[in-house]
Amino acid sequence: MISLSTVIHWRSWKRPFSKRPFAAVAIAILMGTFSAQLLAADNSTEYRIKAAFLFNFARFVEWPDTKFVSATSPLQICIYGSDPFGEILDETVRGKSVGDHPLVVLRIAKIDELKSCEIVYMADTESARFATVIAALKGSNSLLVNDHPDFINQGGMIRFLIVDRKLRFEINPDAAKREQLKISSKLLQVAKIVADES
Amino acid sequence: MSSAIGDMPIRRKLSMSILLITGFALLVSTATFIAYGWFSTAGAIRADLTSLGNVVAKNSTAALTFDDRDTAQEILQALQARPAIEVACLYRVAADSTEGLFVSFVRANRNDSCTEEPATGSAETLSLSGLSLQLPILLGEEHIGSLYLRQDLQRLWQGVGTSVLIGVAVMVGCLLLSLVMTSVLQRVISDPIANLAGVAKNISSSGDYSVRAQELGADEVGQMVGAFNDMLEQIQSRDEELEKAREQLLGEVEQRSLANRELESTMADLRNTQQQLVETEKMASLGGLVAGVAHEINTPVGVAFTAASMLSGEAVTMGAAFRNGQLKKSSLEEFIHVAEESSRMILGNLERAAHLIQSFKQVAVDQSSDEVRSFTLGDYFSEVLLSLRPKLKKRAVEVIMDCQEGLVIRSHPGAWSQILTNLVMNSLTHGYEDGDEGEINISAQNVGGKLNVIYSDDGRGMDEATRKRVFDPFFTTRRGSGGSGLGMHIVFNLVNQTLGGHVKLESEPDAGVRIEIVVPIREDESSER
Repeated sequence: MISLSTVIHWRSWKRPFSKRPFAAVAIAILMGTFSAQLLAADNSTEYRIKAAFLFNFARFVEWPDTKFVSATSPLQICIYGSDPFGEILDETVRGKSVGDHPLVVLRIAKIDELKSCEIVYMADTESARFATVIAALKGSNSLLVNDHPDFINQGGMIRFLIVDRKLRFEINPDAAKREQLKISSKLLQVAKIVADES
Repeated sequence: MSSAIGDMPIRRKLSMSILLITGFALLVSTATFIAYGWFSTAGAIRADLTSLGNVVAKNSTAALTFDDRDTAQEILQALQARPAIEVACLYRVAADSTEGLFVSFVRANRNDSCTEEPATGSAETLSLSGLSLQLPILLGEEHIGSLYLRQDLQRLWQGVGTSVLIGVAVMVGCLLLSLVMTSVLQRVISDPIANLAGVAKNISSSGDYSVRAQELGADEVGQMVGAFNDMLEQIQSRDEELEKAREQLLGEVEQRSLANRELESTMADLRNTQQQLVETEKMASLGGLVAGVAHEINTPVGVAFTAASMLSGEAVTMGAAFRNGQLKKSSLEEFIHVAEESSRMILGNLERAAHLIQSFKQVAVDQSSDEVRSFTLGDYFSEVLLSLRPKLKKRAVEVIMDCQEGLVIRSHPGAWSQILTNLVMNSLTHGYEDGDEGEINISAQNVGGKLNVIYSDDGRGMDEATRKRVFDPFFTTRRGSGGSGLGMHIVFNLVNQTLGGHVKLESEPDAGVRIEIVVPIREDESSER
């Protein structure tokens, strides 16, 4: 598994890499196929981090008791629309649980089926249907996560963004409150807080 | 050291012990106080640091989870407000499970830094320089990082310093206070003792036992003072009794010495009387002698008288016949024969009487005087025995003389006559019953310049008790029948004092008596005759 720090370092190398092409070439030659894989894996690395974040959100957010069917029922992370994670998310949450709730990853196509999900991740490709989905999930106490800049303004709760080449996220506490989600202050501490744009 | 303590006045001993005890108690309590302060402060600091660590750990979970260095740094930076915190290190478990330094906080001016990896080992270490704490940071059950905190111990040292300061101040104050109190309180104990000691010293130096110590209480010292006073009382009364007894004794001694003087004078009287009695006894024996002599002379004088009477009668008858002329030749022849016979008888008897008188006269004179003269001992003894013949004649006791021929001595003949008379009379009185046959032997020898007279009889002798007291004055076994108890005493005195010799008596019951008299012979004795 490639660590987050590796990603970060890799990113921080980007600049010196360009300034010192000889070294970069040398390293690339030395590392051979491995370097090529790393570069090729750029996209997947980002999603690994996102997958880890998704899982970790589950640990800093409290859902109302009514959200779960039972005390041991699974915590469902649902991906709506096209799936950018592939196997990565499944690998990340495999065998993990939050409290007594084991984590499962579901890929959902129908909006109605999203209502039982604790966390709903919508790919950017679905940005046209954000409002519809958000409206449909109103009152279902689901944590909505997305990458799109407009998402958080339309009622989403967490949005990923890149700051200084690091993956960060914004939180709209008001939106979470509306869905009776308790977001840990610690999570708020590390997040960028945004308010509703009324 | 111990003797120095022993010589100290009680006052100082008391002060010293009280101060020592107080000091020790204060020291112990202060040390306890300081130790308690140390441990409680250390405990509080530890608890504080632990809770602070827990808060920081809890707060940093999200920052660690979401790899947010800025937030983590902010969280650690908040420790700036805790001046005791020197170093804080936050370690994060990366995706590859390795744990490395995430962010760190080092207080300005502290030359310190965080290690790249969290320390393994004890979570909490307390050293003189500081207290360090390492806490695992958990999210749920997942170990996501570690927090290392180190705090200086300024607060602890300050606390201890304050404690020491307070303790020393309290100690000094208490010691001063106890010094003051001791000087007051010790008087309660030491003053009565010092008082008692002073009184005892006074009494022993002045000898005045009428002084009494003052009783200041009923405690042990008070009891001691009471006992001391009782003792003084007893000594005083004993002194008085002693004085009384001494006076009584003096009186008694005076009485005794008075009695002694009386006794002495009585003794002198007694001796006087004894002397007189001895003299009387001597005179009495002289009287006996005279009676014997008279008796002895009576016979020849009587015979002479008869013969003279007969001659006178015949002469008258012859004278008448001659004047009548009737004188016959035969008658004349008869008268002449009678006259011759009578004259011879008269002459012989008168001669005998004269001889007797002569010898008796000598003995009597000797006996009544202390004259010293030379005489032949054998002859003199024979004369003495002659004077005893009237006594011996009645008895069947024979006296055998065995005196050295021609032994002339210069001595007190009276003393010897007295000695011989007493010895013979004693033998006759005590040694033999009337009619007993016996033999008395008297021998006298010059043995080596000393006259040795041995007198012995074969009579009844005497037992030991009698023999031991035989020379004592007035000792007699015949008190009722005329014994004076002075005979042998006179013998002893004459031999020892008058003659300057000594006498020894040997006797056993039924074995007779043997008396040895040894006296020195004077130088001119042999040249006398």
